[in-house]
Amino acid sequence: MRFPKLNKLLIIGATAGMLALSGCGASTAASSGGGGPKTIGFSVYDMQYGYFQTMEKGTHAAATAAGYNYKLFDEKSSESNMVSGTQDLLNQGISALIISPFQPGALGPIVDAAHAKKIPVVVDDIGGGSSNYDAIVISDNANGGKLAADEMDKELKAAGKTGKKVASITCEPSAVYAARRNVGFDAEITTLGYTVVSEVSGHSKQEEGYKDTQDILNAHPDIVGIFSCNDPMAVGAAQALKDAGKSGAKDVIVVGFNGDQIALDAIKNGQMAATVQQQPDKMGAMTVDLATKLINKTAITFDNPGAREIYVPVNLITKANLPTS
Amino acid sequence: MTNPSPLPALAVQNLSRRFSGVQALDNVSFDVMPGEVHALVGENGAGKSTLINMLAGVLAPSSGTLEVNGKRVTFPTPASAQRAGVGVIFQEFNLLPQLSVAENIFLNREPRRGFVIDWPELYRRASAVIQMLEIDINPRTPVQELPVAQQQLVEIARALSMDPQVIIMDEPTAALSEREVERLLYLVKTLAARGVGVIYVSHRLNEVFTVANRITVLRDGRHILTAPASELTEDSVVAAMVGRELLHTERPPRHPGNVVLSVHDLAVEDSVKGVSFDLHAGEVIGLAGLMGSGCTQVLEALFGLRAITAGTVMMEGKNLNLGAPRQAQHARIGFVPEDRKRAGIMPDLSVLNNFSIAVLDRITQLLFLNRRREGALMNTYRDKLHMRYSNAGQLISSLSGGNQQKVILARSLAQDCRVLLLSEPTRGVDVGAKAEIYALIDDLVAEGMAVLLQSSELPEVLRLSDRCIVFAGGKPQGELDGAAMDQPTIMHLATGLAAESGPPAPEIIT
Amino acid sequence: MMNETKQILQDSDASTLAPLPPSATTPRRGGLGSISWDVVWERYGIATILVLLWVVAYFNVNYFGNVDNFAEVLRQSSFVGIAAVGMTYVILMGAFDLSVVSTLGLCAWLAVTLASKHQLGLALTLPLLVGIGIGMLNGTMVAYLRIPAFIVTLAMQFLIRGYTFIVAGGDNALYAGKEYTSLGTGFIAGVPTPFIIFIIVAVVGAVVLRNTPFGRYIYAAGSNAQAAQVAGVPVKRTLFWGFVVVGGCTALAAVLLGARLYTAGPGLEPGFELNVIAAVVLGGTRLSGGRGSLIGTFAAAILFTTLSNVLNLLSIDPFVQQVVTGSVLLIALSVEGVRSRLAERLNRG
Repeated sequence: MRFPKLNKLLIIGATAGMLALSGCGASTAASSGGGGPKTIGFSVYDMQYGYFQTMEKGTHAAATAAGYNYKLFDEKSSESNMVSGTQDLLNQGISALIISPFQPGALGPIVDAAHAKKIPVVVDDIGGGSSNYDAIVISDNANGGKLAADEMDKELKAAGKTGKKVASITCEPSAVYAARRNVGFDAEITTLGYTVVSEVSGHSKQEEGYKDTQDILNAHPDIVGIFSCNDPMAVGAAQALKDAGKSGAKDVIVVGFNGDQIALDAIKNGQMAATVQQQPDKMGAMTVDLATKLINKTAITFDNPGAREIYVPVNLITKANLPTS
Repeated sequence: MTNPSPLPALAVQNLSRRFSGVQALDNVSFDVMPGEVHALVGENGAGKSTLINMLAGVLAPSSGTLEVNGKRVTFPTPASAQRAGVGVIFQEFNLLPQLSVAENIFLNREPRRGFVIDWPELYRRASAVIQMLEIDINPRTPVQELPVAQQQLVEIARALSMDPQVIIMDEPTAALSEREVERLLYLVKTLAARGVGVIYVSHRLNEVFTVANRITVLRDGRHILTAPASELTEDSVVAAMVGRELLHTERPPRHPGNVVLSVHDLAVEDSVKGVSFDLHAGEVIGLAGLMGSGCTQVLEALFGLRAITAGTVMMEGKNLNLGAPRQAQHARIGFVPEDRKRAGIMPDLSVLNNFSIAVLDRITQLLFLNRRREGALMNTYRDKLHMRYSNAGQLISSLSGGNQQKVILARSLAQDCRVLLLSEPTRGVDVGAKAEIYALIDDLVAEGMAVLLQSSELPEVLRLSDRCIVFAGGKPQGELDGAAMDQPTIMHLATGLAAESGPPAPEIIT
Repeated sequence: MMNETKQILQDSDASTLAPLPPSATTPRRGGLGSISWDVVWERYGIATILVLLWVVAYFNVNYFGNVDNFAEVLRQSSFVGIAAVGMTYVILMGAFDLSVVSTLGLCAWLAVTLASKHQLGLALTLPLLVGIGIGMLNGTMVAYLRIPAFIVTLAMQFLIRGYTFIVAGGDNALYAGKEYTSLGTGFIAGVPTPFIIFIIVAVVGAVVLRNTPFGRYIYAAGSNAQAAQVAGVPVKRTLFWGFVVVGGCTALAAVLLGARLYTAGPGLEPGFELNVIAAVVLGGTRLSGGRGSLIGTFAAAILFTTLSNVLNLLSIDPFVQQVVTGSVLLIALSVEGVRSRLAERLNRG
C-alpha cells in the first residue's frame, strides 16, 4: 500500500501549491467585472523596450485617471502570444482593447474576436495590418518631416549656406507610416526652395545609411542637407560625412527621426544637427481618450478618416533642447 | 582458523522483512565470526538481496536484531552501517568514474587541511590501503580507465579503508575472468586472515567451496541450513537451495538429420578466419575457447551483427546474405546473445512486448496488432518453456535472470527458427533455471533444432554438445567429439598449446 | 518446479533490490501483480494535475470557467500539442528535433501565402509535404548517416529559417479570407477546430504507438537500441520514420497556426521547439527514451496553456510569469527523482 499513500501525498501537495498560487490572485480578480468601473485592456508589444515601457506608463496613467480598471498583457515579441494573450483580455469582460501589435498582420483574428463581443479596438502605433480596427494612433510623421525640413532650412540660413541640394534617405518600402516622414520632408523642403536630388532606401540600417551617404556625396559633392527616416541611418550618414572630412552639423545638415540615444549622443557631440522625437506616453494617453469615445459612442474626428488615423504630435530635438540625461 | 574473539563479528537474529504482504525474509538467524569467510547462497528470490540491503542500512527490517561484536546495532542509514563496521560491496559498483582511485576510496572522507583536501595525505593513505590488498593500482588513475576487475578492487579498497569488522560481497565474481576470480578468492582469504569477517554471496558453488569456512543456505526467504563447508557437497547445497535433488542429467542420445547450416571458410572482420562446419538438424555443436578466441564473433556474424569478410554460409543448400539480424531471422536463424542486459532485454518493455517484438508481422492484421493472438502465442511459449511471471504486462526487468533468458529464447523460437545460436545461454542464471534450460535445449534438439552453442563454461559445452570446435586466436584449433571431447583436451587446444607444439590444427572434417 | 509463493517473492525481491545510493538506481516498478502505481502515475499523473488545476482555477480565478476562455485555452494548446505528438515519437527513441520551430515558420508562411493566392487545396497539402520532406532529411542524417540529432536538427533550424527569410523576402504573408482562417479560429460543434484536430492527431498517434508494429519498435529502440536490433527491430528505419512523423505533425500545426494568426513569417514563434520538447518531457516521456505516453504529452500541452492563461487572468506581471512557468517545469521534472526517493523512504519506515 505504499504507493497509493505516496500518490495521495503528491496530490495534496500539488493542490496546496495551486491553491496558494490562485489565492494570491483571487482578491485582484474578484473586484473586476459586475457593475463596477469599466476595464480597459492593453496588449503591449514588448515590455523589454524602453519605448513601450513609456507607452505603457502613459496608457496606464490615463486609464486610471479616467476611472478605468486596467489590465495589461505583454506580447513578448511573439505573434502567437499576441493573439492568445489578447484573446485572454477579451475574455475578461474588458470594455475596450488597446493594442500595440507585435505583428500587425495578426490583428485580423483579434479584431474579429473583439468585434464579435462588441469590444472596440484601438491600435497604438506599429500598424493596423489590413484589419478592421476602430482607430489607430500614430505619430504625426508627415509633420515630423516638415519640422525636420524647417529646421534644416533654418540652420542652413543661419550658417549662410546658399546650396539648395538636399537628400532624403527612406526606411524599408514596407514601412508605410515611416515613409510619410520623407513625404512630409520632401514637400516642405521643396516649398522652401530646395531640390531633393537623391531619395534612396537605407532599409532602416545604420550601415546602409553610411553607404548611401557615400554614394550621395560622390554624385553630389555640393549637397547641403540629409534627412533620414530613422536615427540609425542618420548616424550612419553623419559617420560617412565625418569620414569624408565634413560635419553633419555644420557642413551638411543631418536630421534624423525617433530620438534614439545614439542620435542624442551624436547631436551632443556635434556630429548631426537634429532629430524628431516621438512621444509614446502621449500616444498611450490618446488611445485611452479614443477608447472612451468609442465606449460612449461619441464621434471621433480622425486626422485621416480613410484609415481611421489619429496623429500625435512629435518634438524636434536640437542641441539647444537636448534632454538632460 | 583461530578465533581471537569468542564474539561473532556480526550476528543476525530472527531477521524478517515484509513487502506489501509478502514475507521476503522470514526469521533468519546466522552469524559470522572474525576471520571467517561465510558464504551465503540461495536462488534468485531466496532473500539474499533483502538481507544484504538490511545489513547495509538500505532497508529497515520489519523485526529482528543485529549485533556487531556483541553490541546491539540498528542501521537507519547506509552511513550508520559503515560507522558500525559493516562494509558492503554491491554487485553494481558505486564508483564515480571520472575521479581517481584515491578519491573514490576516500569519497566524502578525504583528509583535509582546513577546507581544502590534503592531496598528498589522500594519496599516501590510498597507497597504504592498496598495498594492504597486495595489488598494483596507481591511486591517481581515474577509475574509468581501469578494467572491471580492478574497479572492483577499488570498491574493496574503499570498504577496507573504513576499517570494517565485516565485509559483505555480493556476487563479486559476476564480471570477472577466471584468472581474476582466482585473485579475488585469494584476496578474500587474505582479508579473513586479517581478522575481518567476510560474508560471501555467490551463485558459483565451486568458488564458494574454495573460499568459505561455513555456508548458509536461504530458500524462499527462510534459513535452511548453516554448516561448515567441509560437511557439505555441491550437490547437497544445490539440493538445499532448490528444495529437491537436482537430477544430474546426461546428454540424451541425439539423432542428427540433414545438414541445415553449412559454413565454409568463414572470416569475420579481422578477428576470425577459416571457420568451416556443417550443422545438422537435431545436433548441437559447441564452440569453445578462452576470452577473445573468436567464438562469440562467429555467432554474431551468423546473425548478421558482424561483417562476414570471406567464405560462404548456406542454409539448406541456399546461399545466405547476412547483412542484418532481420536477414538472419528471415533465414530462420535465431540468436540468444551473450550479454542479456546489453543486447537481450529491453528493460522498459513488458514481458509480452519483449517476447513478441520479433514476431509482430505475424500477429498484425490490417496494420494493427491482434492482442488476443499475441497473448495466445505468449501463453504457448510460457507453457512450453515453463516461464514464471505473474502477468505478461509486467516489466521484463522485474523477472529473474533465468526467466528473462527464457523470454529471449522464446522470442527466437516463436520465429520458427531452424538454427539456434546460443551465446552463454545460462550466464547469470541460477542453478534451478540452468537445469531447466538444459532440458529445454535437449527437447528442442530432439524435435530437430540445430544448435550452435558458445559458452565459457566448459562443463556446459560438454553437457550440451555432440561435437565441439575449439578456438584460439580467432582460428579453429580442432574439432572434438565422443570420448576425445573432454576438459583437458579442450583446454590444451584452447590455450594454443597444440598449435605451438604439434602439427597445424587438424582439418575440420564435416 | 517452484510454487506460487516463490514466484511472488522473486518479484518483490527483484523490485526492492536497490544498491546504494538511491540516485544511482533507475526507477523500478513498484507494486506486484498487474497494477504498478509507478506506471499509473507515469501515464495519468500529469492529466490528474491538469484536472486539479482546472478545478482550482474554476473556483478561484474569475473568467477562467467562461466557455469562451476555456475554448481559447484548448485552441491555444493545439499548436504546440500537435507538434508535441510528433516530438513524442522521436523522444521515445532518445532523440529530439530542434528544427520544428523553423519548419513551423516555413510551412505556416507557405500555407498563408498559398491561401492568399486562393489556392486553398495547395495551402492545406503542400506544407504537409514540405514538413514530411524535412522530416525525411532529418531522419536520413540522424538514422542512416549517424550524425547526432542535436547537430542535425540545430543546423536544420538555421538552414530552414534562413531559407524561409530568403523566399519570403523577410515579410510576413497575410491573409484574412474565412475559408482558410476558420481552420484556426473556427468551431465545430462548439469545440475549437484546431483542438478537434489535436484530439484526432493525439488519438491516432496513441493508437499507432500502442497497436502497431511501428509503435512497438519505437519503444523497443528507445529502451535498448542494441537489444532491439538483435531482436530484429529495424532500428534505423524506425528512427527515420519518427522524424518524418514529427515533421508532418509540425507542418499540420503550422497550417492551423497560420489560419489562427492570419499571418506567418520566418520568425514565427521563437522558442517553439523548446515549448514542444518541454510539453513532451513534462508529459512523462523520458528524455533518454523507452518510456512515456501520448496521454501525458496531450495533458502537458494543455497544462502549459492553462497555466499561462491563469497567470494572464490573474494579471501576473509578465516577468513573474516566466519565473512561474520555469519553476513549474523544474518542479515537475524533479518530481520523478523526489518520488523515487520518497518511495525509498516509505519503504524503510
